[in-house]
Amino acid sequence: MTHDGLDEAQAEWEGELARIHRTRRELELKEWSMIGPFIAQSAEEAFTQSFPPESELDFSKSYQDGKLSWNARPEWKDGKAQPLLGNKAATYLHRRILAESARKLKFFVATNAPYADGLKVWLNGRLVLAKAVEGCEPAKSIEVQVDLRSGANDLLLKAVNYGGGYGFYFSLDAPLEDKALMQVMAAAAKPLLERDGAEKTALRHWFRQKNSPRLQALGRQLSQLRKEKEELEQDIPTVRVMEDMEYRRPTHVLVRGDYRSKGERVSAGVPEFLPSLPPGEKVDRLALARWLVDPGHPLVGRVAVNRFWQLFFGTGIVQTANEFGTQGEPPSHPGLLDWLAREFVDGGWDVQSMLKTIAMSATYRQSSRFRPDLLSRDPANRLLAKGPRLRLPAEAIRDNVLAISGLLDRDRPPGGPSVYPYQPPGLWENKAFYCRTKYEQSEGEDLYRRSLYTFWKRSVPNPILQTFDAPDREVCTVSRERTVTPLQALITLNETTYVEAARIFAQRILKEAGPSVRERIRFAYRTALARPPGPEEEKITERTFHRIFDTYRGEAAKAQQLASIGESPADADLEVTQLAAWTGVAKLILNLDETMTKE
Amino acid sequence: MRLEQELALQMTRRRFFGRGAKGIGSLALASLLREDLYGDAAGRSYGALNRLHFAPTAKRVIYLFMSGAPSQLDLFDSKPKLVEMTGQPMPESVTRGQRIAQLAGRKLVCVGSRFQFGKHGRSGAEISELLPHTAGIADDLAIIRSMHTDAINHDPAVTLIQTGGQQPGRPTMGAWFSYGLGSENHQLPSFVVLTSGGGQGQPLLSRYWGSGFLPSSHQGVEFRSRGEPILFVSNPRGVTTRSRRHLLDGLRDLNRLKMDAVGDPDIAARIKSFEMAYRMQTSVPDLMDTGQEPPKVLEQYGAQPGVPSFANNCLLARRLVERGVRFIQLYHRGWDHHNSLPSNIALQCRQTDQAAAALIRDLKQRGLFEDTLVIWGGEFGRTPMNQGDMTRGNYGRDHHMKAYTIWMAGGGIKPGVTVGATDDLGYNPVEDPVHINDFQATVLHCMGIDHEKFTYRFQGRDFRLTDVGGKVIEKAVVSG
Repeated sequence: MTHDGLDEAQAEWEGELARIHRTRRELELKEWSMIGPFIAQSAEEAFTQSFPPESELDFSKSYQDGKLSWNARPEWKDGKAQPLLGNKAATYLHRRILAESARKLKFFVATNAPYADGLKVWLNGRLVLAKAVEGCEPAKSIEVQVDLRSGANDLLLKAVNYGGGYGFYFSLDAPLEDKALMQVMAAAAKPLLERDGAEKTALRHWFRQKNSPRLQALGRQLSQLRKEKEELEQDIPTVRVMEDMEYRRPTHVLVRGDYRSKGERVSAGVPEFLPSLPPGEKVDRLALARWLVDPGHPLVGRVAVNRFWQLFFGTGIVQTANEFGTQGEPPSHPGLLDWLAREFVDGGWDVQSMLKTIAMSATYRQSSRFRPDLLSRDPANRLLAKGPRLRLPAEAIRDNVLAISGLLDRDRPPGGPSVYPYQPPGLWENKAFYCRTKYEQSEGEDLYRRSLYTFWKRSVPNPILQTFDAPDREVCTVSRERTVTPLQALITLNETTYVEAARIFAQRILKEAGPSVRERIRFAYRTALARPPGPEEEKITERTFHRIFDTYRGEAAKAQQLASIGESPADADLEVTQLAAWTGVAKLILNLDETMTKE
Repeated sequence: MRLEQELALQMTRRRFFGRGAKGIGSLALASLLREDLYGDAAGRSYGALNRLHFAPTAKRVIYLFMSGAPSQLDLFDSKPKLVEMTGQPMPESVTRGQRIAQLAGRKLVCVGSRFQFGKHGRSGAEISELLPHTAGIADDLAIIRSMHTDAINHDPAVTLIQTGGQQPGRPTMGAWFSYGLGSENHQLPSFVVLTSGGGQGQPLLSRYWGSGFLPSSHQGVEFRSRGEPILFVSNPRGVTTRSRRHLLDGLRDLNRLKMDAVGDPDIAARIKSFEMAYRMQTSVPDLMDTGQEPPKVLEQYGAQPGVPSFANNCLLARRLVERGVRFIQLYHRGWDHHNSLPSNIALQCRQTDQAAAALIRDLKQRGLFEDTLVIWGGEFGRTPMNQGDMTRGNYGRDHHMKAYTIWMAGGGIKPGVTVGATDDLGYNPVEDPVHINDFQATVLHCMGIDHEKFTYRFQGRDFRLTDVGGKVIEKAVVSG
């Protein structure tokens, strides 16, 4: 040990610490204990009924035939909400507070639930609060002030669930003094000879951490390394892993689906008409996975390529893509299905390469024009004498419009949290239940992210995607329908994303195309459809432009209203009635059947 | 339209209607466009069913859904014996081995209704004092007192009565009708949903009017009582009707050019969809404007224009029926009276009784009652056992799946009959039990559909609204 004057400095510091300790008033909050839930017939009853803990605080006792007893919760941290159990139920929470002298104590409590719940607070047996509290989050907690007496105080809380979930939240108005520092202070206040080994070490560590230059340097190094380690670990994505239980739980056939009537006991296996599992292997998830991707498996490759085919052509080679069994339809081109499946499996299950093969096939590259001669012979085009012509799926309909206008958020890499694009007000609020009843619209580029990232609430699905046949996600959907409805037209004409996209597209037309109406129309067609307009189309579009423009003549206020829809600002350089008229033309082009269709 | 396109449309129609399998674009029109595309004056339907299985007695349905489950014991099923036994334990012989919801493990005590029952109309139907207006139309109703279900909690029970199965994923009743029969109106959806408003009670999930595995165009369209009546029906700010018309004219001409070039019948459907959207922009706000009704009518319903309520929705239902909408589903929440039942049920009855009766009378007066089927009821019933505080005049009731009451009226329903009966304590049906699937078979029957023949193949199985059950309630239907 080096003599660097630290020991003397420590002695001086201890003296100072002891002096502070003698003058301060101490407060110590012990750990929480809880008991509950006490179930009542109704929420009101749960609130009013006096359950045993209200009349006796005996932590050794248990109630309701031993089902309920006090449990210590040393892991509960103040300022962090804790979920509680039971509907129409009351849970009691207790903690002891030691005060060196009588003083006031202010704290905050909440039940952490979306609904009003009940809360009562007693201090030393005296009721100090009884009310319904509200609030989904601790932010809506209520403030309570109590008078502590010198010595031990008993704080008792009763949280009552009125419905939905509930919980418990407690925090002091200010952070309590560092517990470790308190201990060190208490040690410093003791005469030297009365301190035990631990206290001496604590004092020494405490002082030297702050005052030894060598220790401080090491400490900095350590925290730097810890930080690096943490950052490194954060970069590793978390993957949840399932594993089998040590012993298999017995599984039974439930007769007519009734969980109470157990039938024959069953074990894991695969259908008999399919190849059997590899012999000798443990029958578990891994065995199932290996079985599925066995190159000899007759189904998996075929089912997969059929779905890829369906993506491109609208209909699979087996039309019933979700049913390859006896209830399904036979393939229209069995040889093709077999060949594709073989290519796919032998090519190492390379999806991209399979999609490329299909996309580059002569069949897919055929014109999608309807041919009168085929209509009577093969109206559904099952024989693929022409190419497919299909309306885009829900997500792509919106993405396409965002992309044409230039609004689509293309900068961010794939992945990330869900986003909340425009949605009419009140949808969640009117129907949602429990928590998350408020739709908080995203801001900035999140409004223009691909629809894939749109948050999906199953009880109140996104109306735009839903109207364009996105599945409701209640059950697995292998093939989507494609409908045409007026509700879709109302969306593409009136919904905020589409109106805004039309305006932004109009801004592009006005700034990026030449000055004449025709040049602008040609630019718009090329941008949206990747082709110039035909002469007749150009004429109709031009006529429509002039007609719409006439309606905005002298109506700058109306034009301004239209230009202010959506979060992205209107380009102030552009004359607003011009912009409004071109917004109309842009919307016309965005609403063309061809724009919404893959052909 | 050119001949080839006509032909194409024909083919499209046959392709879809003939097979009833995977749809293509135009099929949605079946539900949303009018007969000039798919119509047929010779009694054929406009939907996927080529021909009805027998002559329908009803063309439209109004289903007044009482979400949360009203107490049959306080409204329709009078039980003097239960009143007598109030406060005494429920005989164990009745409840042993039974599924019980929130009362599980508690003392089961009988509680009779504190409300008075009377016999009403020439039929002498027993109805409680809580429903004075319904009592006034007793001779128009078929009251079914022996309903029973398989689910003891709200969500699975609503799912069961709407779809025939307790698990989510199947089409709801309105979606089945939209799919099978299409619409009689070219300006409105064939399946409309109205909710009473207010956030109280059990949650309403949009899958309660979902289309399940049927094409999504058959899902119910919610007409909202606040905000835009249909989402996105209003023009954006700064867009006038005139400029919208110019845009749509241009769009129509351009889409026609495209149709001529590629010959895809879906483009014809798209053109129609825009025109219909345009018409809906005026027809829907017009429809929703109950202020057009004479004060006398508003008074009969107890409706106030612009104020969301069950009464307003009943009036809207009549306006929708007049316009040929196929299936109108009303949801009224707030019947889940586990405790303080007497005061709560009285409140719900005040909100619903008058309007439901006014609807029947109004339909009759307008000659719509003969071919409109009106249904009133919840997802299950309530227990003869008390739940919660039981003091003088105050009690509560838990969920009960073994017996409850609904009523049906109108097209094809026998007026002034009471079907089925329960035991002295109102626990089990003892006469003509009616399962949920039986109820569904009956609704289909009234609409001219054999429930066993109306199927949709999905994942290799032919699904029905009635699952694997269902027997028409012969005593409740006219042809029976």
